[in-house]
Amino acid sequence: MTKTKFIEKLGAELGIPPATLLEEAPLNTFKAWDSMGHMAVLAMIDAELGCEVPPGALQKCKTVGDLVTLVGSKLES
Amino acid sequence: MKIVGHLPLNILGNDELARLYPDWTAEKIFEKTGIRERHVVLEGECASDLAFAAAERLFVGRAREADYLLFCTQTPDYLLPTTACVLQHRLGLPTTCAALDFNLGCSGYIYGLSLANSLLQSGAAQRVLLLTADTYSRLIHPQDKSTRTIFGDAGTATLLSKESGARLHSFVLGSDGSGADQLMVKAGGARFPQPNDLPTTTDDSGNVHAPGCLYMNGPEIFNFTLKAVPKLVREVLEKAKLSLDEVDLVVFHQANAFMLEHLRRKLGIAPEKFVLHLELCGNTVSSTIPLALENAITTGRLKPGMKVLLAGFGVGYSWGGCILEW
Repeated sequence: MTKTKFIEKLGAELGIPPATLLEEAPLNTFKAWDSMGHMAVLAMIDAELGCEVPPGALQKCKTVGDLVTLVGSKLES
Repeated sequence: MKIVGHLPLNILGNDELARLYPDWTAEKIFEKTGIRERHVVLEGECASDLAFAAAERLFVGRAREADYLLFCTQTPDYLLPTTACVLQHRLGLPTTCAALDFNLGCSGYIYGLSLANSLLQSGAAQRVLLLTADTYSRLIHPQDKSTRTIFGDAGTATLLSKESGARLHSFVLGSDGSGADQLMVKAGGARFPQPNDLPTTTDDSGNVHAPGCLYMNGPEIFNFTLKAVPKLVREVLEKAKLSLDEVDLVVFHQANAFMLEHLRRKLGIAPEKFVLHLELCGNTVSSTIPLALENAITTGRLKPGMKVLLAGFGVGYSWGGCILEW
């Protein structure tokens, strides 16, 4: 999966147009970035990328870019 | 093996929650959790009352014969004595009946089955009464909407004996205390006796977390299940020398519908084999699996001869799975 596709999927999970999901965008400005939003993103990462997220790592992500970095090794360059 | 559940009469529906938390609608709560209503105890109603009611119904038309009572609860009546002793007396069980509580949540029913099975196999007991009950609703802060939407109260009673016909085997159990603080009531025990000694916090979504109340980090619990549950299912099947195709029914701890549906898809379990039973009762902790089994029995979904894979996982972290041949 490419970075662009990952951000598209992220937008779909959070109900946000991908065009507004800039890498520097703070996640806490999105209303859907609550505990259910976290679970939806974990489920998407698990289903689409099959990668394990270390305990606590998702909640340390502050921006969209942090999420991209979190799964970076699984994304196509 | 006989299973009976009991729900308190008082109901907390999504409409009421939507009225209390106006940024949510009743339908949104259902969409996110798969739960429409949960039963919650009234003031003065304890977990032991729910377990007692379930056991009373179980004993209708049969002798009150049990020589071992196991009570799984995280909301006992007292710090001491063990609530199981109180229940032994209240249920009119003989004083020759052993009785003990054990403190587990979402994995508790599987641990209880494992203990009961071992007692029966070793000859240490002839008839084991396994009770589960919790009143998490009394531990939840009124302004913690993320947990208030999920949990309901309930009690169940299961009677096991060698002659019951059902067979339990291929138990796999595990624990990982590194996740202890992800689902916890921090104050009130010996480590932090006074809730006021610790700070109350509010998270970004407005949920209030008080030290004497239940704290649940839902995403971290979900992350834990993504790793633990597929491994648990694989290990149970390997131990039983069964494939998933040879299992007739799968009953997981009924945490929330979102989590269950993701795990179902991840594991490739057909929807017709997968039991969902939380819409009208919520997550009732150690009672979810016996309530789901009772429902499967009464609706005819669980038939004699079927092989059922059971799995419980959560607070601790703690997990357990087994095969039930009905």
